[in-house]
Amino acid sequence: MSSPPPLQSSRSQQRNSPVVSPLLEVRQLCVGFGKRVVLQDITLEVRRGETLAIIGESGCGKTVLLKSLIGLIQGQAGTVHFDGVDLCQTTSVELAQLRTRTGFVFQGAALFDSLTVAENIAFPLRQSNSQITSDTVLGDEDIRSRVIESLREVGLADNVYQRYPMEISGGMRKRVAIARANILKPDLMLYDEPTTGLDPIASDVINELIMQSRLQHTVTSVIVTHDMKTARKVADRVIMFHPIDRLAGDDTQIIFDGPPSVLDRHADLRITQFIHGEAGERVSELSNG
Amino acid sequence: MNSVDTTVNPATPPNALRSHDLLRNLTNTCTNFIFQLGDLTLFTVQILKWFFRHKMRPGTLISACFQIGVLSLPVIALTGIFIGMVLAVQSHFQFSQIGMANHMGAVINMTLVRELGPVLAATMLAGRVGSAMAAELGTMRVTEQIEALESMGINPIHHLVVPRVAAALLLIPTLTIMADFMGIFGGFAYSYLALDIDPHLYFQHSRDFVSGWDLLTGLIKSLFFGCTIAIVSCYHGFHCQVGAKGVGRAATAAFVISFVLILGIDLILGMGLDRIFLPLQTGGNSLL
Repeated sequence: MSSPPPLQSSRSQQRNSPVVSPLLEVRQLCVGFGKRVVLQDITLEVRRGETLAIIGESGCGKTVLLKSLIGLIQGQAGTVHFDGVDLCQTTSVELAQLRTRTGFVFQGAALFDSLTVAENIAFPLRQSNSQITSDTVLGDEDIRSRVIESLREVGLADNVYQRYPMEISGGMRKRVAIARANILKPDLMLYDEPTTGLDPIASDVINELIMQSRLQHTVTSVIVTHDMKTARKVADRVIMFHPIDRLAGDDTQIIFDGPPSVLDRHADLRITQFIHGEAGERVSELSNG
Repeated sequence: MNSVDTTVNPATPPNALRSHDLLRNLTNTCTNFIFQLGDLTLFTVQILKWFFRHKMRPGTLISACFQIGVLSLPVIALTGIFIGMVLAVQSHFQFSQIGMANHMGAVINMTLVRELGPVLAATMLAGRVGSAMAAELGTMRVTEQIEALESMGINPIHHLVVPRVAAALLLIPTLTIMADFMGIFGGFAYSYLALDIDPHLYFQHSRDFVSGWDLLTGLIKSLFFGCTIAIVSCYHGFHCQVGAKGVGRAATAAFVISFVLILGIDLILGMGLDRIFLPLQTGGNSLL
């Protein structure tokens, strides 16, 4: 796979672009399951074309937030606006329509195991075919060529075309998932731990693909990750979450919001422990049972 | 320590503790049951909404029909033929003692078309297809494939459940007819070949007693059974708990609950349909 051009150009373009309304706006979002509160008063914005990385300990609610951004999980309070539309106020049909403008790469790839790789990638195309007028419907040959093009974009050879997801490696599955999520050229891409469980080389391939997708078309990306290398490499901005049960007093759940370069210089012990992978007080918690 | 906390108060006698726990467990069970019933009702309403308001994709229906209908045929035919033979063995033992062995065709065929055919087909369907549906949807839930569908703007009930319910409704009458036919054939073959029953008399008595209404009763029952199996199985798959254990539980619950409901519905419909059809029977609608 050829290496994509450097990201600096797109970042500087974005810095110089005029102020536009954010694509995503989250206001005082609270999400819980039963009595357990996972997200408390989360407020954030994601600008158009921005790549935002959300980092934080396991169980702090990163994936829950990601799913809330397209209404897969409903909050108990607060609002989520996608391109100015309040997801809580939309009908199921409108919400489905909005979701066709997004691509979601799930942690385990979530490929349909009863379909081949090609059928998986073609799936969103075929679905959108069934919802549009006959003038713009793609024929089987068009779909096939789009699928092959998508496979090549993610660096997969044509010989995986007819294989089933279970017959390919984890890294290949993630790449197929990216191809599937990208096939409709969505406005918003959501990645849930895209590099988890992959070797360093496969992880870097995924990072490159994330960067490549934003060079091909204007896309806003939100990436949930534990991988600091991914956060540093692909993100314009990083948000760090802290688990609610570890918050002291009136602390907010978002303990960092800024560019990745600032993250390394931050004095907050919770941040430095996370980015350097240090257990800190957890060791004493372990010994105390 | 709070004195009303009976679980830790040393002054509380053990019997009171046990009855308190028993009461709490009973309350929890009842509450869970009511919640599940409510959930199942809402799930069914969603299925009906998507069934009638939105067009199904033909590909999904054909695939479900193949899984439910075509792949179930051999097992239903095989069990049908054996159940017919078993009925012949048992009936012959009873009827020969009272000198009415030639009448056993009526009993075997009546039992098959009214009761055993539909119940057998439904039980096999619940075991073979219902558990598979629950396990398949459960795995899809656990591996986030259902959420992946939602994230693409596709309603999973429309895409995954409606075709399965439609296929079950469409094909269970056919499978029931297959079970009936194979049972009748098995019963006759055993009676003729092994028990030396006169084939003319065997079918003559069947014709006198088994009517088209009996067959219709069985087919109406089968529609209810098919609908129940598909909805219950899909519900358990959709609400599967995480992990392999969750998928296993969903598959087991799908079969057990479907089977219990099949028997319950069979009883209710057996009573209800008799009240409707018995007055309509004129004796001229013989099946055979």
